[in-house]
Amino acid sequence: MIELKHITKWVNSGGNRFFLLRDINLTVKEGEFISIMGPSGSGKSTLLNVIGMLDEFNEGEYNFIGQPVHQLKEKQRSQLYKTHIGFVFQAYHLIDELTVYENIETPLLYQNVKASERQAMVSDILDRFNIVGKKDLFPPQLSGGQQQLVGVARALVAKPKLILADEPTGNLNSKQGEEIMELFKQLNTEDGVTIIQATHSERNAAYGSKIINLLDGRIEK
Amino acid sequence: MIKNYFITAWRNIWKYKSVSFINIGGLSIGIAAVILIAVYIQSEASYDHFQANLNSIYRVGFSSGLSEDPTAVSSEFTAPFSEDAQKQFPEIQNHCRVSGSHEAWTLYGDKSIKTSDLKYADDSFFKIFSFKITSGNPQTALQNPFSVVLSKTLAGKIFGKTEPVGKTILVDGKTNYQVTGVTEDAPANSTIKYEALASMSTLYHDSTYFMGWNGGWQYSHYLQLSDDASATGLEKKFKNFLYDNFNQKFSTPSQSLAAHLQPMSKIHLYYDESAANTRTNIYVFSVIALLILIISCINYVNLSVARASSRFKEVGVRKVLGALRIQLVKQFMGETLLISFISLVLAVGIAAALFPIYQDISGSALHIQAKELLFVSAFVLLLMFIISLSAGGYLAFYLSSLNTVNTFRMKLPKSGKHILGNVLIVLQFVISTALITTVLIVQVQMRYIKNKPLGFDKDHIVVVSLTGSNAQQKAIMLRQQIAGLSYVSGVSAMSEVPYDNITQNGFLPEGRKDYLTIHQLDADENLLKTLNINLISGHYFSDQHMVEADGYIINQALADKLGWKEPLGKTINRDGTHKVIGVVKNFHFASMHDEIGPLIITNKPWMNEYNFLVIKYTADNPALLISKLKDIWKQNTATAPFDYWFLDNAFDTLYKSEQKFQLLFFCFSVLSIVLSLAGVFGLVLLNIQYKTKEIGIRKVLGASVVDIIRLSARKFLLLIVLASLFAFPAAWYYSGTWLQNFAYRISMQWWMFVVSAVVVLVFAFFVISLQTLKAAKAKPVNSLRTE
Repeated sequence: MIELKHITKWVNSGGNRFFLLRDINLTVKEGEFISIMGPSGSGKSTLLNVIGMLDEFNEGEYNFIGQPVHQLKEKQRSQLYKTHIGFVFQAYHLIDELTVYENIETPLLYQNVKASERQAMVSDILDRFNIVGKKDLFPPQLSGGQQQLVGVARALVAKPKLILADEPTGNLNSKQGEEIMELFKQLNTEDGVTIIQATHSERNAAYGSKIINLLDGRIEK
Repeated sequence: MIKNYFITAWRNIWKYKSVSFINIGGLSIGIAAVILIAVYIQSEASYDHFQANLNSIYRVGFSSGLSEDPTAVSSEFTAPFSEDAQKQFPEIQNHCRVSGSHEAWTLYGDKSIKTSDLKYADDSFFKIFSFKITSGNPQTALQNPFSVVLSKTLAGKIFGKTEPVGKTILVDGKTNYQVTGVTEDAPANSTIKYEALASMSTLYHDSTYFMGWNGGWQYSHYLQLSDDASATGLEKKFKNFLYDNFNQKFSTPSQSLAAHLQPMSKIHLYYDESAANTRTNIYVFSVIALLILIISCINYVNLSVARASSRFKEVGVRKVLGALRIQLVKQFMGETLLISFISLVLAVGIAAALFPIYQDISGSALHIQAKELLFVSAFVLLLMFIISLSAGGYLAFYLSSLNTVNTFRMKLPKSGKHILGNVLIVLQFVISTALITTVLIVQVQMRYIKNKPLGFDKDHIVVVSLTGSNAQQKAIMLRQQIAGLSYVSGVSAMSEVPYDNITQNGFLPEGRKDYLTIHQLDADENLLKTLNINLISGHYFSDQHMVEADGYIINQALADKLGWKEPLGKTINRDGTHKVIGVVKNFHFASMHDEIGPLIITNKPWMNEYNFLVIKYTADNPALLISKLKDIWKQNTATAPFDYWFLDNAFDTLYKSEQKFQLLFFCFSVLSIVLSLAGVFGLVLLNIQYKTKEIGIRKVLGASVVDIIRLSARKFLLLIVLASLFAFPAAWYYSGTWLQNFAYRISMQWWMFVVSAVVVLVFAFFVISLQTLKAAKAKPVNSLRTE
């Protein structure tokens, strides 16, 4: 599903070149649950952003479901990731001015889903996550765990093949964190959603079927 | 999708209430002001446009001498001009003479009504002009002598609900006129205005009117040219025509008259007495409207961009969720459009609510017809689009161009944007400072002309108009009786009251070959004492020197003009030779726009009749005096109406147009200053919000509250100083241009500039300190926790 070949990314600062990613080679098959681990600044988020097509890379090749991402234009890339990838963030990144319902609905708007269909899809997911009662609340009115639940619901509503989660439990207490991880596990095993998460925590990493360790932008063997 | 955008926009407006308030409030007030100004300009620009024959009507302007000064053109001339011209030139299809305004008292039944605007006009009036006649026959209404057509308002006053046509009214207690028609009131934006129109033919039956070529300069001549006629061609032919009929017989070569054609459509803006003033006003208010608009847009862009960082996250999230750039641009444009739309609705409401007050202040009865209303609406809509596109467009492209990943880090890009922001703030300060300076200078000048000594006393003076020949003949008897009243310290009869200019006539002073036009005032022996005018040399007319009643008193300005060091005993010729017997100190007999001109005071009024009695009283409350005057008036004149006014009030009306201008200018300037400062306020507010963390860190490191205020104030204060460098020359230039309108004017002082800069400084410092204080006093622990 994902094939990264010799991916390298750097930034120039004051004449020096800082490598964020160095010669990353990674293959992810459909249905895998991968945890990326590493200390702060090791490049976990950058790697996720590259995989999510939110960030560019300087060298290397990236194939996503057979499409050469490095050769696509921004519009095509946007089309690709918005239909196939769902994002979950550490800071949830919900839009504060929109209700729970509207937040979950937003990705469908950008995929031009019809109103009736949209309603069905959002209702489904609200139901499944047991947050129907919260649908008219605004994000600041929810607890962190609940917000992240909405975040996951939003990532899943368009039925993506891949979920990219950047420290999804970083802002949560351990019990809330566990619930989210259980949810990921369930999605992976029951729905066959491919998941790539970045995390600090050994315990969370253990939910994955495969662990990749990053240090200074390199995959440690 | 649209709904989603709309919801986000609406909730954002709610979330940042104070900023939205400044944004929407500022924008709507700004648009309202622009609408009002647009209405004013439209009203001025559409003057006379209701005339169906607008493009074929010309007024004739007459200029004298070799002077090229277009303002020296008078539209009033003697009666036969257009009548004879039409006989000679086939390109003139129709002509219509309209006399100057006459004051008249009408009597119907026992009701006596005064009109200040009775004009005489030819029977072609309704053929050429598009005034609506509601009853009577427009073809014949002004045909017969002693016919009069009334405006609806005047007809209502005189007749109430009775049908006026066919009735007879007594005018000025001596002549009967038959009412032959009633018209709608002349539109407010009409050059020709009237309350009553009497037939021109009447004047040929009245021996007091001179209808020949050489006198009675009081008729405006309107010509309707045939479609194929050339105005310039006709103008050329007028040269010989005027020579044959007038110049050859009645004029010296240096003063020979020339006739010009003034297109009706251009009269108001180019040929009217007040045309220059009107144009200045239009110009000034256009500039102000533009400034208000610029300020509103700057406020909008500045506040929106400053606020944009709070939207970074949203932009990032939307991008991650698959929003294309164009979709984001559309969203933010739409948001601006929504804000503009709300503002527009509010603005129209504000403008409509203020319209009556505005009309009152501006005094010019604003007249808007359906067609013009459409124009103003279209203009406003266009305005709204420009605001939305420019302000929203900037924001939209700025936000949507941000890198997705960076938006999550909530960092403002450092380069470029701040410079633009600073430029816009400086522009705001420039506008505020320049406007405050200009307002100050206008105020000081207006105070100056109101308080400048006139050279005579205008206070405690009541003027009685001697209307009707009966009263004029009894002037001296009236004067004696009034002088005997208590609280009356002086009474004088005169031909004109010196406040709004005085008639000019041609005189030939000793040693000159050409006639000079000199103001002429006819007054009795009491003039100097009553008005407290100072005599410099010689002596004034008095009962003791009857032999010298023939002499002239001149003012200092005339002596200076003629270069007479010893004016006494010199002679001036007009219908005989007159000796100069006295010189008076200069006094203002016209507004401060004009320099004090040369003046001759004679003791011999035209037809031996004075027009006014000027009474100086000592009582604080003149009510009792007025009632006594009325009694005396009734005993002596029987039916003639009693009409009086106070001289100081008359002086106040002299600067009415300036005062209107001053007031409007003041209002709109204060408005733009407030808007611009509100923008600064909003910016400071946001600036400090973003600096909360920095302030927290500095406090932890040991900075005091004063240190922090100094830090945030310094930048703004520097910008104000920079702005002043641009504002001062602009204010100096524009105020100077305006002051040129006055012959008597203040000189601009350095403090006028400094004061305005200080006002802006103080305000900015106040706002900054207040906001910073709030942030600086907060516990650093709280502000640092936001990360």
